[in-house]
Amino acid sequence: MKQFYPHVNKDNILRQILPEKKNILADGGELLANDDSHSFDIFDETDIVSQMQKNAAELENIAQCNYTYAICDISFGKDTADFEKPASADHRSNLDVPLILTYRRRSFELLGKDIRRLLSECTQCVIFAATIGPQIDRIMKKKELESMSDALIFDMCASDAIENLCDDINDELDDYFHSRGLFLTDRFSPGYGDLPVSASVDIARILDASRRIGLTFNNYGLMMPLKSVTAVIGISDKPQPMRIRGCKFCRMSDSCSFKKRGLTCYSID
Amino acid sequence: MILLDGAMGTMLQAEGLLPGERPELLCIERPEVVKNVHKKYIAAGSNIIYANTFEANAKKLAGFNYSVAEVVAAGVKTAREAVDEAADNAVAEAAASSTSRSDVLVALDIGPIGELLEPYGTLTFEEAYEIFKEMLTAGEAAGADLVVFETFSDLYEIKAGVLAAKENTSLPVITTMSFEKNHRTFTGCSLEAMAVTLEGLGADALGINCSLGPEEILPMARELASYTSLPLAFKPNAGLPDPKTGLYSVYPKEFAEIMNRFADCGMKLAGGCCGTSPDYIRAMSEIFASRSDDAAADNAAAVDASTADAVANIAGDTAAGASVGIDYYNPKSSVCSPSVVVDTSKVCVIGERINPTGKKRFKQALIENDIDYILKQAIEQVEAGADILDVNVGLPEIDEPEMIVKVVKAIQSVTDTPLQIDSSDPQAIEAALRIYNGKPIVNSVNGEPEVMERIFPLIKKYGAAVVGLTLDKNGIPASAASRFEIAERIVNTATSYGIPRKDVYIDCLTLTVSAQQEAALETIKAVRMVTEKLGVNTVLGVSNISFGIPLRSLMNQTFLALALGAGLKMPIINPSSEPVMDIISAYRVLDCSDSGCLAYIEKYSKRQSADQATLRRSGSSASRPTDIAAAQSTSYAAAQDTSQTASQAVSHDSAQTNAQASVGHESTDTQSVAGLITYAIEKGLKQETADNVRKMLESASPLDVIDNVVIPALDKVGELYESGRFFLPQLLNAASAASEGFEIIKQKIKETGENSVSKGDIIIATVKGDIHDIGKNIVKVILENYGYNVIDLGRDVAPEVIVKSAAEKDIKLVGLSALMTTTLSSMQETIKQLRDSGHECKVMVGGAVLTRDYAKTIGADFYAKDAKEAVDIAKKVFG
Repeated sequence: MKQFYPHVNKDNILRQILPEKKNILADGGELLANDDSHSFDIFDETDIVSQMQKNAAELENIAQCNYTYAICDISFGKDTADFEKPASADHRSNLDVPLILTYRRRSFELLGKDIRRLLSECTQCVIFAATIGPQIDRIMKKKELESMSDALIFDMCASDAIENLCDDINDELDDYFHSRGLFLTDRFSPGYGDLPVSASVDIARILDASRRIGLTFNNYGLMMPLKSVTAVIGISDKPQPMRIRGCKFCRMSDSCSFKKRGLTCYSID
Repeated sequence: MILLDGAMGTMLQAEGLLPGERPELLCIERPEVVKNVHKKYIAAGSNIIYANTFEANAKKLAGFNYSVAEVVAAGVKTAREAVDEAADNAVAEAAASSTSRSDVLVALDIGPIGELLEPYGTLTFEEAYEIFKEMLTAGEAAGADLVVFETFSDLYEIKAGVLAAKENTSLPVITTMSFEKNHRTFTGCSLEAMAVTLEGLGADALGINCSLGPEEILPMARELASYTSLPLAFKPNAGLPDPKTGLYSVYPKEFAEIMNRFADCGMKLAGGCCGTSPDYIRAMSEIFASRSDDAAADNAAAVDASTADAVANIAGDTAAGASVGIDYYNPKSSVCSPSVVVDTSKVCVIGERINPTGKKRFKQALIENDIDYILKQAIEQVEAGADILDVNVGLPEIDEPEMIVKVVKAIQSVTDTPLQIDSSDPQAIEAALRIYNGKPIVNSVNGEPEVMERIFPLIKKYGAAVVGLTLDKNGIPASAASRFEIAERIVNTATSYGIPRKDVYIDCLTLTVSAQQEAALETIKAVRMVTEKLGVNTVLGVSNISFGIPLRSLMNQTFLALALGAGLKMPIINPSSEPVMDIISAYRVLDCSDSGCLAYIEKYSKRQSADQATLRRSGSSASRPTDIAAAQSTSYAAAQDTSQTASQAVSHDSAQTNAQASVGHESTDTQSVAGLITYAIEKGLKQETADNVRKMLESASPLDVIDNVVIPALDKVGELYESGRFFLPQLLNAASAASEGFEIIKQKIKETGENSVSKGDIIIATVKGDIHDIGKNIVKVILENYGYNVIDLGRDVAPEVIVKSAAEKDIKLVGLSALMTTTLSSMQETIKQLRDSGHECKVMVGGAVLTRDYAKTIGADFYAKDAKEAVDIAKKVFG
C-alpha cells in the first residue's frame, strides 16, 4: 500500500478563518505581497496567517497517515440469514430491498436510500478506513491550555488533513480502477445523507481496523482517534456521475455557519 | 527455540468456516473445529498454543449470552483437549515420532479490549484492569499454563493487563505489541519504552507480533534486543496483505528463512500471526532444528522439557547469561513515558515547579481543583527544556493519593515528558505508580530502614527508578563521607530488593549557603564520591543553595556548574530560569552530549549578536542607532525574563515587588493604562495585558478593572466578531490575553483576601460518550473572561455526575455540549435527570449537530450557537 504523508491545504484553512479573504496566499502557502484593501484598522492579518502556517506545519509533522481498505461484493435484495445485523437500531429505509456488502465471506447491511442510489450501478465497492492518529488528540489538549486560538486552527488543520488523506486514497484507487476500465462513484461516509453514523462500526469491523490502523469506537459509536474517517466508494463498469457533493448531503447543513453567511466550506472550482 | 503457533482466524477461514462476530464463541458452539486447528499446530511443532480467547473480554462479549468466565474456560479447555488428544495419538502411534507432545503448553491469549484508553479514549485504566482481571482469573482457573498479551499498541493498556496478571494469578506472562514501519505503535509507543516499562513490571518475555511481515520486523528485533535482558518473542504476519485480494505475500519457506535470522538476536519464542498456518510453523521447526548453535540446543531443550515450565526454563537460561542474544543487551539508566525515553546517565533537567511549597497560587490551585493551572506549569517547563517533571501535590488540606492520580493522569494527557513522583506518603506513591504510563522516578527514600522497607517493594513491583536522600533519623550528616555512607547503604538495600543499581539515584542534598556556608562544598564533594565510588547517578535540588541572598540566579548558576563538574546528572531546577538553563546548555557542549555544539549554536547565535551590539554601544559612541535599539529591546526583554523567573523561584510576594520595580516610578495614569489594556486585549497581546492590569491594580480595585476595562474590551471584540470583522482565532487571542489579566487579578485577590469577583457559577460539560470538547473549551474561556466562575466537568461526563455537582454547588446555569448525533441522546438524558432531580437550574446547550429547534425538543432552556451567545445567556440568567 502506498504511503501517504499528511498535508494541509492552507488556503482552505484561511477560507475558514478569514472567509471574506480569498487568494491572499500563493499556491505554495506563502503570503502574497500585502494587499491593503484587505486590511482592518486594528487587526493585522499577517499574524493570523503566520499562526495558521505554524499550526499547519506542526500538524504535518505530527500526523501519521494510516489507512486500510477492502473490496466488497454488493448484493441487492438477497435477504439471507447469513449477514450480520447492522450495529444501528435504526429502521431499515422504506426501500425494503436490503443492500448487503460481502468481504471474504463476511457480510453486513448498509441502511438508507442514498447509499443504494450511489451503488445502484455497482457490483463491487471499496470500503475504507483512515486516520491521522491519536497523537493529534493529545496535542490538541495541550494547545487548548496554551492558546485556544492555536487549538482551534490546529483542529481545522487536522480535519483538513484527514480529508486530504481520504482524497489521496481516493485518487490512488481511481488510478488503479481506471486503468482496468472501471469507474468509481463518489466517496460516501456514514453520517452523510441517511446512511447512519453507526455504519462506521460495521465497516471498521470488516476491515479489522482496530488491528490494522488503530481505529476504535467507544460505546456511543464515536471513532477514536477523533480524526478518522470511514467511507464507501462504488466500483462500476459505467462512468459514474457526481451525485453527492454539496450541502444537501451534509449532516451539518442545518446548523452550518458558512451556509448562514451564504458561503460554503469547500471551494467551488 | 520455543515454537509458538500461527494464526487462528486464517485457519478457521481455511476450514470453510464463516467467521461470526465473535470467533471466541466457537469454542462453546463448535469446539471441535478450533481443536482441530490447535492439533494441526501441535503436529507442526508448536510448543505453546494460544487458546482461542483473544477478545473474550467483557466489552466484546456484551450482548451475547455467555459470560467471560464461560468463554475463557471453553477456550482453554478446547486447547487443553487438543494437547491431550495429540499426546494420546502419539502414544497410539507407538511413539513413532520421537517427540512426546504432552509437554505442549496452553497460553491464555489476551488481546486489546478494543476501546481506546484514557487519555486518548474514554476507557479508564482502572476499568481496563478489571476487564483483564476477569479474563485472567477465569483463565488460570481453567488451567492455562501461562498468559500471552498480544497485538497491543497502547502501553497503558498492556500495563493494566500485566499488573492484573501479576496481582491475580501466578501465570508466567509473555507480552508482545504491534509496531508500524516507523518503529512505533499506533499510539506512539517506542520499542525502548515498551522494553523498559514491561521488564520493570515483571513480564517474563516480550516481543512483537502482527502488523508487519518478518522482513520488516527483523530490524526492530535487533533494536529491541539492545533494550532488555528478557527472552524475546516474535510472531510476524505472513508478510503484508494485498488489500485488493486480502492475501499475504510471504510463503512458509521464506518466512522460516527470515525467522532463522531472528534467532541471532535473542529470539527465544517464535511463531506467526495473521496469514500464517501450520506450514509456517513446520518450516520454522525444521530450520531451527538444523541450526548448529545454541538456538538448536534451545529447540531440543524445549522439546524435551516436561510440562515443567518451558518459559521459566528460558528465563533462567537468560539470567545465567547463556543465551544467544545477550550480547545485544546494553543496559542503560533511563526513565520513560510511552513515547519518550530519557537517558538519565546524561545530564537531564528535572523541572521543580509542580510543587506547592512556598507558592500561594499553586496551593490555591490544588485546593480549588484547578488542574488546568497545574497543567500550564507542566507545559511551560517542558517548553523551557525540562526533560523530566517533578510532581508534588502534598498539602494537608487535600487527599494526596487521589490528587496525585488526577494530576499525573492529566499531565500525561498533555505531555510525554517522563515524571518524577514526589511524595512522602507511601499510599500516594503507590497510587501514582499504578496509573503512571511508562517508567517514572519516585522521590524519595532516605537512609532510614523503615522508609526503605516501605518504599522499595513498591519500586520493585512497578519497575520504577528511585531517589535516595543521604539523610537518616539523625538528620543530614555534615561531612561528605557520612553522606556517602548513607548513599551506599541505600544502594545496597535497594539491590537486595532486586532493584538494579542503574535505577537508584542519590540526592546528596543542598543546604542553604546563607545559613550553612561551609556545607556547600561538602555537597559537591559527596556528589563526586557517589558518582565515582558508587557509580550511580545523582540528583540534586539546586535552587536551595540561594535562599535569602540577592541575585539568586548567579549563585544557582555557580553551584550548578560545580555540581555538574562533580558528576551531577539530574539537577532539579526551574527550567524557566534562563541563566540556570544556560549553564546546562554550556555543560552539554563540554561533556559532548551536544554533539557538534549544534544545540548551543542554535540557541545562542542570536543572543551573541545582541551581546556584540551591546558591546559596541558601550565601546563606541558611533554605533549605528538601529543596533542600539535592538540591544536595548533585547536587554529590556532579558530584564523582564529575569524578574519573571526570579518570581517563580521565590514567591508571588516578591513577584509583585519585582514587577513593580520593573514598571518603575512613573506616575500611573489610570485612564491611559485602561486604554493600553483595551488595546492589548484587542490585539491579543498577553504579556502587555498582564503588565498593564498589574499597573492598574496599583490604583484601582479588581472589580473596577474587570467591569470597567476588561469586559468592555471583550464586548468590543465580541461586536467585531459578530459583525464579521473579527474571526474566531482573533476572538480567542483576545480571550487568551484577557485570561492573563484575570490571572493577575486572581493573585491580587488572593493576597488582599478580598471577596471573589465571580459573577456566578456555571457548570459546563461535554456529555457522556462524547470526547469532542474544543467547542466546550472555547465557551469556557470566553465565559471566564466575563467574570463567571466556570466549573468544567470535562468530557464524557455521566448525567449523574452533572446532576450531583449542580445540586451540591447550587448551580443556576448548566452548559452541555455534544458534537455527535449519537451522543445527543446523552444530552437529552442529562437534561431529563437534571429536571427529575428537582434542582432548579437553567440549561443551555450547544454543539455542531444541534439546532435551536432540537434544543427545544430535548428540553433545554437555551441554545447557544457560539461562545458569544453563551455569554449573552449567562448575562440573562445572572442579571
